[in-house]
Amino acid sequence: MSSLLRQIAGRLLSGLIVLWMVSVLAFLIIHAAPGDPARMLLNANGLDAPPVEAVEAKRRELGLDQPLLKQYSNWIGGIVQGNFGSSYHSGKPVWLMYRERLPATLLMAGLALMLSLSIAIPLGLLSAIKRHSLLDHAAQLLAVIGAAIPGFWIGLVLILVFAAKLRWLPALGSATFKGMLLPAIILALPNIALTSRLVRATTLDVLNQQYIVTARAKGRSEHGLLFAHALPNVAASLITPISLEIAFLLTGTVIIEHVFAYPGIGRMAVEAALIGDMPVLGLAVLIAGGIYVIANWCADLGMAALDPRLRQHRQSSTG
Amino acid sequence: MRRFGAQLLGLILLIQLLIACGTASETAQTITSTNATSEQTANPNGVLRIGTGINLPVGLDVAQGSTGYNMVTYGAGETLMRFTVDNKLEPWLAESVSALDATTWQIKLRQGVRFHDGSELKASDVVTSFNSSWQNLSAAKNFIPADSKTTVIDDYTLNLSTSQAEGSIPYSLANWNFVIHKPAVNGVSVLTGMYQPISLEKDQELVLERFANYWDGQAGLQKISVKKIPDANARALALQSGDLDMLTNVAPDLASGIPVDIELQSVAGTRMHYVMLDSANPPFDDRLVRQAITLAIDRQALLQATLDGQGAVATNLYPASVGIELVEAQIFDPAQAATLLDQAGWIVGSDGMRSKNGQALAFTLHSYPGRAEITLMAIAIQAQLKELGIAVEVKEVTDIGEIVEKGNFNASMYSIGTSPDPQYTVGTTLIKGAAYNYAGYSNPAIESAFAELRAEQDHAKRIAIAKRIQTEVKNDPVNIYLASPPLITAYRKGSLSGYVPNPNDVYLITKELKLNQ
Repeated sequence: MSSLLRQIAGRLLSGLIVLWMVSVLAFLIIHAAPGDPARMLLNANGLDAPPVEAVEAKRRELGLDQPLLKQYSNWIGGIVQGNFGSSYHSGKPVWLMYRERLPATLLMAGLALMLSLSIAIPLGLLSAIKRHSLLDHAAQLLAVIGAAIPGFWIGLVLILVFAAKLRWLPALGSATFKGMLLPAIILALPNIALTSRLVRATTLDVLNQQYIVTARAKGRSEHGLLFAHALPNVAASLITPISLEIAFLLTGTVIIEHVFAYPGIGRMAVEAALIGDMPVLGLAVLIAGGIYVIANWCADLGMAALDPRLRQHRQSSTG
Repeated sequence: MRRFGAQLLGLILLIQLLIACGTASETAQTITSTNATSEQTANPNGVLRIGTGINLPVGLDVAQGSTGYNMVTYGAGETLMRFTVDNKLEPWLAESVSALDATTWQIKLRQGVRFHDGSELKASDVVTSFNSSWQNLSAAKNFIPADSKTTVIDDYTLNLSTSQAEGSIPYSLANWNFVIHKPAVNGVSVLTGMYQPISLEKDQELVLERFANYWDGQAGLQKISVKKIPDANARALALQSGDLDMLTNVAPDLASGIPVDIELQSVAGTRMHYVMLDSANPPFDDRLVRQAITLAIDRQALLQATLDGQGAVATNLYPASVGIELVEAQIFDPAQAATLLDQAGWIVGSDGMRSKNGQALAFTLHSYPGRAEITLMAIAIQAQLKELGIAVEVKEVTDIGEIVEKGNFNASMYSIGTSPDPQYTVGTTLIKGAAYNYAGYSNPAIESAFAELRAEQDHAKRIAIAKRIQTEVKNDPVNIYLASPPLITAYRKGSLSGYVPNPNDVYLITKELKLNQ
């Protein structure tokens, strides 16, 4: 038990170190980006250049005239104390902006995950069972297309077909089922491609295992073999990629939200990047880092829960 | 397996919970105007849904940032004066603006103008509004000096006195920095326009509804929804799909690919794209070189290559669209350009490039990505000047302000919004210490003409002075005027009526604009 606690504490500590490194990198990269945030903010409407004295006053107001180290310590110190600061642009508390936008992003990522799993797993299984069939080749083609074509391009094509031509779905994203269906499909496509191929490969691997051959020799039906023996093993091996897939879905919304004008945190992060709104953008990067850290933790826990070999290993090492 | 199924079920339940939370939060993220008074009757003309790539206002307080610009654009805010479609100055909330003497202007207000809170506009409200603009908007004092005095004569009359003669006051009263407003309560200014803002979702949507007590009769639309859609292609597709009724600021290259059932309205705007030259340092400290460059650029070819031929070429410091009589100074004349360079001692070598005393005629042209066509223009200029033996290196930077403010440039692409007021462009670009005179250019003839222009109140005389300044610009150029980009609006054919394109993009929404059923 103490070993488990030690492991959890170790994971927590390494996660915090990763997040700290992410915060330093994010802060430095945002500050190294060309452009003076004060001027960009004052000229956010693309109107004429703001007066020099107004830019200077804005720099002082935002604390941008302070040394870099001081700016970083103010920012990260605030976050540690639960004060995420205020947007340079709107003056609104950053946590409030995220609270407003996060549900929309979670909704779309959730729908994309459901689509991805409900298509990729059956497709991968069928491809494995019907190996080298027409279906298998079609699935392979889909996987290549899904993995190779950029999401923003597919997004525009799907808007053209389903919104502009057929008028079945809205061209603009919104936090309704119809409004997030197209963006969710596009977000899910690369994951469908990768997961279906992974399921196929893992299933084929499992189906060739000795215990499956034995079960088959004992007269177990193919259906029974697949669902009672193969699938649990396939599921265990999918925990890590699916955890990372969730992280990818949450962080991969940035471009999709931009194309569909979807009201989520991804679009908010892009808008913040365009005008140098450090408190908003910095937190977006930290959240993205945090999602990956948590996804890795979840993968470890999931593996431990689903894979008896890992449980036995832990028990033997503690006992 | 059972555990996996339970996890999946849990995930579905979590998503459903989030759907519920998301729906609830939809209504929570808006700034809502407390001044909104809903109409009792529904307008069959419905809601005009506009898509734009331009930032929406940060809030609904016109004394902050460029919110005043947005509010005038979408029919919520009004100024005392305004410009017509052909850029003539006319009274708006004012009934008249007249000069009492060299430094005093008397403003008579239109009677019966109502604020969105139902109160009537009085002279004291104008004083409060001006004070708010001077106090909060850094650019306001560039139009009307902040040390000006306002005196209420009666409920509908006030005097505006300046410390020195300011002939441009009637024009400045049309500037959006002087939108007439009551100071904000809970972040929302009280305005007088035909539409009143009712909600704003940051970076998402601005919604306005018709103001029932508008002083000039009922506006043609029940509601207006302005959505920011960052991707230009997605905006165009949303218009085709029927998710939007109107697009503003359509890119010229996109405009050429829009289907036949979409109506496009293109008008050359009042913005000016130009090249600033560092007249203090070589090679542009030589007036002959500056003159030669102004003649070496084929502006029509630039327009064709970068703006799909739309917009208008510029030949002097005023865009053709602002309605000021032009002196055509900067026209394409490569032979004359070559002669001037020869006179200046820049001789063509065996490699076709010019040099003097072993020094090549070369410079860096800074550009920036803020407007898509700017860097394309810089590249086209590079190619055109190479024909004349001038080597140009184009360098794109994110923040052009940082470069020009430090005076750290040979030549730089730039763009400013101009005004039908002939004083504005001179006063902001050519006068020593002017906001956009980054090279420190100074020409005594222009300085003296500007002083005259500033003091003159008679329009015809102002135009005559402006012509003298334009002639001096021809003799001693510091900026190469290139083109005015187009303002392109798109909507489905037959879906709108009453829309009149205006070179001033700040007058997008008019009372006559309505949706056809």
